Amino acid sequence: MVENTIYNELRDDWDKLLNVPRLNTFPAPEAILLEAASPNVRPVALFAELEDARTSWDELFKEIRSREYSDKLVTRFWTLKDMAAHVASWAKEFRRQVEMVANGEAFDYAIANALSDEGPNEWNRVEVEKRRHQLLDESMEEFESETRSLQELVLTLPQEVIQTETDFPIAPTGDPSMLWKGNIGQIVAMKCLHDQWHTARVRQWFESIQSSR
Amino acid sequence: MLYAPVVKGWLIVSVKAAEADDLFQDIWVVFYRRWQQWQFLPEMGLPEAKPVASFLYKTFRFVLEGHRRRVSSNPESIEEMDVPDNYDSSNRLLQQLDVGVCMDVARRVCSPEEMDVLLAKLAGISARDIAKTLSISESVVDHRFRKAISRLRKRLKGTKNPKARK
Repeated sequence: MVENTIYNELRDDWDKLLNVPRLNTFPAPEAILLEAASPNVRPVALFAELEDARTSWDELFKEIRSREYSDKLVTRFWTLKDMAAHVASWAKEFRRQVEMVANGEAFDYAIANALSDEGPNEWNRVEVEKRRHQLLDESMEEFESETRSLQELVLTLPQEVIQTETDFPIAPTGDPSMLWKGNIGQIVAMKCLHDQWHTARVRQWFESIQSSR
Repeated sequence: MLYAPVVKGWLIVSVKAAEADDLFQDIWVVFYRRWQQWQFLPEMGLPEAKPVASFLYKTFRFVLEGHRRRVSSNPESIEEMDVPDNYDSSNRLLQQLDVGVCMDVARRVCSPEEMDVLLAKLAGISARDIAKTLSISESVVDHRFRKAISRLRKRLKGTKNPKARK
């Protein structure tokens, strides 16, 4: 009874707090939408997006109980283990790119056809092949550790470093002299989109095999 | 912006007043960017309101975690928060807000973990979603909630109407 009274008091306080928006102390929604569409996102928001991508992937694999399905095909060519290796390879690559740009280092390589409709098929194939002998759990750990490193890194970066436009080793046309220009904020957003896209695909695959059982 | 008041409420209770509006923006930026991808996310299959509230809560938690880590590794970062030049921080009315006696006591006596549960409960997030977001079991959610209420009860003991203390 006493517990209920205290909770009701808390609820009253909470309801009063919900009237705060009447005070014009926050940016208008339109300003936030513009911010969301722009490449100038703050470090804390980048951290949160990465945390969301990391935990989504982690939760999915806990649900799948991955060992049982490790060698099952999730696409025409890739098994679940290959998919984990693919996502881990990009986690490493994105972390490396951000680290190098943050340190002011130049890239001496380019990933052909990345960010194109065709896709960086050869780079993807080579990276998955490199992890051929890696267990699924090891690829999961690689993804986890690389993503966490990137999260810690973005939190330390000044806003101007996150926004500075530079060449990244991404060659959409396949020509290594024509590199994609962007900033760290966009690269992080790209990683999150990539992770979430594969998480959703693997989830669909898992749900389809569950429902066919 | 149906959920904006809830997000503001969470922030006002959880962080220093001057930090709340920047973090509010961070939460919506992350939310909108992710929301644009919902066509391929499992939330699609669920009733609309629930995933929005629980996803916002998750986003709030992630942003808060990033904020706390940034502050602990670099306490000066608060000073250099990205406030537009034309923004008069002295006008941040949040600093004058009254969060209420009970809520104020809760802020002072409950652990951050207990506050996480309390704030989610107040916003109507299910125990299941809270558990999932905080990576704990539902029984731990329940335990933290009871513990928070118990701390408040002890602190407010002897006052029939806690608001009378105001």
